[in-house]
Amino acid sequence: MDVTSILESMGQGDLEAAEKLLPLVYDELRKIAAYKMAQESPGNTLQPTALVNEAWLRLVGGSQLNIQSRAQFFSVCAEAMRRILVEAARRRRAIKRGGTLERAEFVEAEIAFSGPTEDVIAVDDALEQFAKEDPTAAELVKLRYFVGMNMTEAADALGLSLRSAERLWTYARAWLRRRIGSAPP
Amino acid sequence: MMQERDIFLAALERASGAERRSFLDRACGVGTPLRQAVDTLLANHREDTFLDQPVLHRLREGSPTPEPVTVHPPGTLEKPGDRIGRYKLLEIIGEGGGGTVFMAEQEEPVRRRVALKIVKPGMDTKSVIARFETERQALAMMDHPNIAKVLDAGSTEAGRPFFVMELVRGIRITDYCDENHLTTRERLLLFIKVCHAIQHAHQKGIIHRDVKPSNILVTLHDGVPVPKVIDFGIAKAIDQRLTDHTFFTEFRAFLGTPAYMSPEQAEMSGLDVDTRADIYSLGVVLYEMLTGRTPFDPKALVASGLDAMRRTIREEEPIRPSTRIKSLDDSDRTITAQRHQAEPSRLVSVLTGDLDWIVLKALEKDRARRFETANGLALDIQRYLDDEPIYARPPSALYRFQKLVHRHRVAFFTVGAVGVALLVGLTIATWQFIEKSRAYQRISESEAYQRRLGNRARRAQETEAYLRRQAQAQELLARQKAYAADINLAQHALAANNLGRARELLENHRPKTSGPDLRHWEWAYLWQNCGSDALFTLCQTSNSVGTLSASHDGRWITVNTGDILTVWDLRSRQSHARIETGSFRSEAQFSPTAPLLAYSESTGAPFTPRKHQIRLWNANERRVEADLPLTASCRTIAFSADGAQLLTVSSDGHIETWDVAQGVRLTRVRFSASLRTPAQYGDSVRVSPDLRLLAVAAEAGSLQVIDAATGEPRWTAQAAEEHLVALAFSPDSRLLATSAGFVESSIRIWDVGTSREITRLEGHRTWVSSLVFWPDGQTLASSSADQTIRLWDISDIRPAFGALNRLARPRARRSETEQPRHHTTLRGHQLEVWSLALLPDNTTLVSGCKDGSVCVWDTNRRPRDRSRVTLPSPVDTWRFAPDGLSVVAIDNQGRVSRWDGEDFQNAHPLADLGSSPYPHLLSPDTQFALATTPGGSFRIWDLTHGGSLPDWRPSPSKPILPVGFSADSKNLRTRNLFDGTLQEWDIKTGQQIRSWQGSTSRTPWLATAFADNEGLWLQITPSGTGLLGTPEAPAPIPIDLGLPQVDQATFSPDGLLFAVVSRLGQGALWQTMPPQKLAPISGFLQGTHSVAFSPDGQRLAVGSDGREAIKLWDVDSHQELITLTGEGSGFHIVDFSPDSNLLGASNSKGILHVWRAGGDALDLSNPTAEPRSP
Repeated sequence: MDVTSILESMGQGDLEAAEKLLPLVYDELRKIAAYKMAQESPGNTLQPTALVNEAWLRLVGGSQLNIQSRAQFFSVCAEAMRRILVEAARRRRAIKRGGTLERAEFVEAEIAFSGPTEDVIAVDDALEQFAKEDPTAAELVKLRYFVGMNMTEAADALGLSLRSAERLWTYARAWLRRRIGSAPP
Repeated sequence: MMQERDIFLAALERASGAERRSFLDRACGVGTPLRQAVDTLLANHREDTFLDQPVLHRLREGSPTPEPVTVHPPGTLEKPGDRIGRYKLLEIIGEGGGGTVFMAEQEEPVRRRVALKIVKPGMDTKSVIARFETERQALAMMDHPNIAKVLDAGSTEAGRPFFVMELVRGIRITDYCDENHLTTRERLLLFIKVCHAIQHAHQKGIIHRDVKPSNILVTLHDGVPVPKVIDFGIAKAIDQRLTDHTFFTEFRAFLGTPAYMSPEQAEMSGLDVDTRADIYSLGVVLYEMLTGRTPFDPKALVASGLDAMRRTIREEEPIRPSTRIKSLDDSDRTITAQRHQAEPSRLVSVLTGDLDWIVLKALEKDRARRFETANGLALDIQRYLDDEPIYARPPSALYRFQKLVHRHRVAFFTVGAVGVALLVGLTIATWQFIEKSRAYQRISESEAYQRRLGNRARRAQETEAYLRRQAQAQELLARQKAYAADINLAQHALAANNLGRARELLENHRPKTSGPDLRHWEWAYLWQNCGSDALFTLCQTSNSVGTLSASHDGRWITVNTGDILTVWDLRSRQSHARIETGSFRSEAQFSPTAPLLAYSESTGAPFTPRKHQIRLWNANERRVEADLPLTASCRTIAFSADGAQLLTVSSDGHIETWDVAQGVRLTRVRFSASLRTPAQYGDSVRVSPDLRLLAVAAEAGSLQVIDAATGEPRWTAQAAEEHLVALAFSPDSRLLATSAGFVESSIRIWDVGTSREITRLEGHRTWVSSLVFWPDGQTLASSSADQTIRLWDISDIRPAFGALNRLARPRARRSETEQPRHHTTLRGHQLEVWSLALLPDNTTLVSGCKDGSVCVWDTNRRPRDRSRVTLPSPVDTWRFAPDGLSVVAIDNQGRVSRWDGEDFQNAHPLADLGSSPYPHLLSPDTQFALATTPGGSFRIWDLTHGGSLPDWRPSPSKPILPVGFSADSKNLRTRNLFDGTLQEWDIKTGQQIRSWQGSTSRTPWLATAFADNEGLWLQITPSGTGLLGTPEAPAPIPIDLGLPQVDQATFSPDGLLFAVVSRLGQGALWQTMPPQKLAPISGFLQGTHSVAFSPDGQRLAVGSDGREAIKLWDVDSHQELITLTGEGSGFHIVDFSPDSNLLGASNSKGILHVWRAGGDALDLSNPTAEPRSP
């Protein structure tokens, strides 16, 4: 099933469509990342935004999709990227605690080592809760924190005005900080 | 819950305080869960960077680390046995206001003891670390025996910043001096070392900011006291400013005492603290070392309160050291003096004068009046020790008076008159005293004067030696620059085929009887490229060679040098006959069927009418066969194809035909054309091979074709803007080639039948002097003033027929924009080539040059591209064999081959490693190739003996990246991608030999380099920061190259230097220890990808892109020397062959170019050696 039609059926309220889209996007992102890591000339680093944009081009291509579908696509991307990063962070934490790395692919190993794992996991845990309370704001955090979009890009992706996005961001940060600060260490 | 968000955001829009509280009271009441939730949200609201830094962006090295999310519990105190990161705390070795200093054990990468200072609670950990990080690189640059290195910084689990330093087991400098009863002189010598350490730091841009005895520890090395300045960079990081608020609570606690603090630091005026603050503190330390006390009593300072303390430091003049001693009570004075091993009175007299002034100059309130540098302070002390006049002078009375007035302005105005009177009286009394003591002074002054003279003489000698060395260095540098410039010019000359200029430039740098030989690879490379393509040089005459003609059997060739015609025997390469023609340009032509030469001569006494004739001369017999009289000077001679007839054209417009056998005229007609003035080279008239047409170069570029039988013009065309130089008919007489000079460089081809220009041959760089068609009409040879001969393939150029003629015109126009026509260039002449002749074998070409040389060329042997050779198939990685005779290369399928033959065109398969995602590696001796199996094992193939060594797996689970073989090919070095460990393995046994803790950066694109010296290595991340591991330093030294996107790094063979290159097209040459940038490597059009030193370390080759495959640099003078061009881009491997003869570079497409220096060109035993022919 191709991505465009999944997005279209999502637009028509097919909630399961998102479940179908996620693995596609997830695979694609990892493929692109792996390809980039292998082919890209040394010195370049992975730019999540570029990865997501490339995934958009490859999966959706020139199809004309409405703003809503676009927002859904980026949401799915953000979710996929979040999973990639958080899985990598968890794996790294497992290794630190004496676990072994089983067939970790190069790309993921690299991603895993790039950030402070505890932060990533802590943010992710809090974000999970936050998504239940304010899904849009949580989406915004995913796009900003996991995909690396700037405020304008994220606002565009979510179909929000810049001002609304900024307000959501302020709220999300206070909320997440509160949550993380009160979490048992 | 949307309510919570909206209330939160609305509350934020209200100023905090009452307004916000009342809003919240209204919105969610007091004490409700909602109110609580919003309150905690507001408490967690901060305008900071939380979450602003995306997770993955951290891949980028050097990006600011985001604020840690974890909230630290307030400080718990560390104790021995605790562990902080990789440090285990052993015992407390110091405790002060600033924090606690532990002796700690570092466990990895090397086990060693360090000093770990945990800053007391209450500091903003993040900014302390951030400030430390900003100075970290500078701190790493410090390398001085009297400075204890700061190795690391971080924060404890409790969130307190800590610093890790070199462990110094010493005591305060003041305590050391007193406990060991050092004499004043010994104290000064020790202090000078401290000044030098501070000076070193100042030169690296680091201000200590907290110089005091407890930061200057003395240790004994072989019984010699060595002061070590500790805590560099820490005061800056902690950035403790003196404010009213922090004074008693933090400042005093931290610094202990303000006694060593400079006025500008105490004043907090916002004035930038600079190096002179350290000078002041040094002055206080010196004061204390000499008198046992600081200028101001620290207890009194603190007790007086902040304002009074500031005023004291800012305004109160310190008491002179000598006066200070005098003012002590007897027992204190005696104790102090005993510590100097001196009598109290003796100590006072030692301090009085010079030392007083030196100390006071360091303690000047106005920093502009202090010593400018720590070295200045040290020098003045040294001058004192050497009994030389010191620089520091007592402040003038006027200056002191001004300061006095300034300080006590009000009091002064009231008691001014009294003060002045007192001052006058005092001056008179002083004057009388000075007069009395002057006589004594003169005696001691005279002794001191003698000493000073001796010192001065010694210094003058040293200065002279220094200047001489410097002059020599300057001269060498000038020579190196001139050499680089000439090499550059020679390369340009070669590119322009100007062999003569190139050789001249290179000749300039053959070593003279004196002076260094600066030549290296580039010289030999260019020199052999200056080699001639010619088979041999037939002769070197003293006059320019204007025309040439070859006999039908290819044995004889006439060399026409103005009024002398020399006939050469091509077989014996000997001169056969020398003929004086009496004309500055004789026409000469051999018969196509017999050894018969027809040449024109002009005879007659001066000032009488000259006689013109054609002489028929048998070259074999050296015999004149006949003379054919002409009415004017001859302009051209042509034989008929059967050799029976001869056609001559003379300058008065006569066309005559002659019977060769009979020696009689057959026909004579006139034509009317104004022939251009003949030159020594080129043609003014040419006859078609069928003798039916004449091509005439008339004035001003006009070309006329004339019927030879009637003298009637066939057609006229404007063939050039300038005058025509060379003319040539094709063998079938249907094409005509012309050239013109001196601006035009093209050759025009004309359709004789239609007078249309068919095409132009573009390629020569300047005017064309001579044109020769091959008898088959397929090739045209041209010689030019650009020093080359070119062979043009003209097989596709056909004259048009009949009605098509008119259509040919637009095509002819279009041809001007065609791709350059394929042609072969023959190089060898070193000046304008003026003439050409083709031998009857249709292969051998003879050329004559303006410089008098005649060269013989084999046109079948196409000139080899001397500049470089290219392997026939792509390679992935490669190495030159140690003997420099072959290349061992691995292609991207893992197939290993040895390429040999003169141009490395013959492949011999050696092994098949299979493809692998990991890089294949070749050992330096090309005996071994390494492949990583899909399972992560290493397999080493023995390419010499076949087969492979036993596989081994360096780690069961961790990805280990092979980095390279050791220089002796016995060991393999690897990098652990997980923890950064660098390991060295014995390839035969698979045993680990040694390991180092490398960079823990996770990027796979670390530029890692090992020097041949054991334990010297370098790792650079793409951001340009990295680690330098040395056998001397206990831990790798962090370095910052200031160069992002570093692609490759390499050490010089002796390890004293290293070079790095960046994808941004820049690089740098560094000194290894202490790490210091020596010179930038720049000037590339595109990126730089690889770098290699020549085996002797004198040259640096940098691989770049495309037309700049390699640039070569002189390591010593940092001069760019030469650019070697290549195909494709991304030359990511560059290397010299072990014998330095070859230079190779391969690019991302696998194209491997090899450039060759003429192996023995640098052989000095043969100073006049010609460049080798290929």
